[in-house]
Amino acid sequence: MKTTVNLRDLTILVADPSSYTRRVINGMLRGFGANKVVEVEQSTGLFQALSTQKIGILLCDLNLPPHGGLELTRAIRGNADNENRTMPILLMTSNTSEKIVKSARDVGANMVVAKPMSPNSLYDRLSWMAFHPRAFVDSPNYFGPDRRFKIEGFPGGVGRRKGDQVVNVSEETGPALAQNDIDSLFTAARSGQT
Amino acid sequence: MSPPKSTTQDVAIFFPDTRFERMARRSGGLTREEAMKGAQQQLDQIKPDFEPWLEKQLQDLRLALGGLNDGAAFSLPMDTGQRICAEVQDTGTTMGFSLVTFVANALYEILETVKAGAPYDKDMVTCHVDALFFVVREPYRNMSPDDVPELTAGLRRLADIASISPAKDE
Repeated sequence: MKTTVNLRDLTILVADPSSYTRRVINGMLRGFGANKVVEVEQSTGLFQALSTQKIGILLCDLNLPPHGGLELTRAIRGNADNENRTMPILLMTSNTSEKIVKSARDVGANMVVAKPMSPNSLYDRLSWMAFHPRAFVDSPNYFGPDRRFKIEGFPGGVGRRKGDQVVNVSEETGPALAQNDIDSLFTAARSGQT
Repeated sequence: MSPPKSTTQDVAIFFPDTRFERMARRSGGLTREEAMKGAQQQLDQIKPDFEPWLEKQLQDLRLALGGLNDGAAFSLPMDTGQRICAEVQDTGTTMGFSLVTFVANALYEILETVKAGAPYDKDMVTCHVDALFFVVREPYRNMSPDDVPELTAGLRRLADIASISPAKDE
């Protein structure tokens, strides 16, 4: 049986400074079946949307003015009174340097997707987040998805936890060619490489 | 929210059971194939507006950067230029203009080196802006960077030169 993703009636918040980029992302999401897409161009609008609506998932540009996606993610995860604290956050960026991707992971983003995005790359990541949920870690220094992302065994070869699964994502063929490298940076946390 | 799965002294691990997971897993969703088809239909509807939008962005880019001279410090016009490059780069490939994304990215990187202190090279920037106007035309508009190796190699060399230029003396 084929996996399906149902985005109907789920409020999706798209935060990007470019109106045309928002339109493209909105179009992709509607093509995926979404019918409630909220767009904001600045972080002030983002916080307003978060305080007035039940947001299912946030797609946020890394350079969203004026605070930037990293700071916003940190703020959302850090606010214990915010009911959206655990919502999935997907950061979008054309700067996919290792430093940026690690920073995104370490402030609590669920995933990073490389721009320009293809429908393939976006759908795969939405599907991944829906069907391979990650535990959240609440510690004095970090609140967010477990950064030990793809399960490959504990450092030092202790072994795999019962119930751990390898996540399969289709091979990238579109423009986001560096996406696998991005994903592997999340992977590396588990194997103690970062 | 489910109770903590495990706790140590100051660490709790739990599954938050988000609205996204609950709703996305409902029956009645789209398969991957259906979603791709739907997304492509939506992008096809948007596509006719892309070229006028792109043309306007490139005109604004030329306007923003055209008045700057060699050695100029990073300034508002360069910030505007970088923002336009980012927007063009973010949508170009998605709308089938891979070369536009490539050149916009190269110019973005050059402006980034200026922001980091490298001297502004008017000729280098003008070359990239002209290249952007060039690659939106036929027959280049739907080509990929691999289709025009000489052009891409030339722009990469320029970007390399920009990245190793010494910073200005204070």
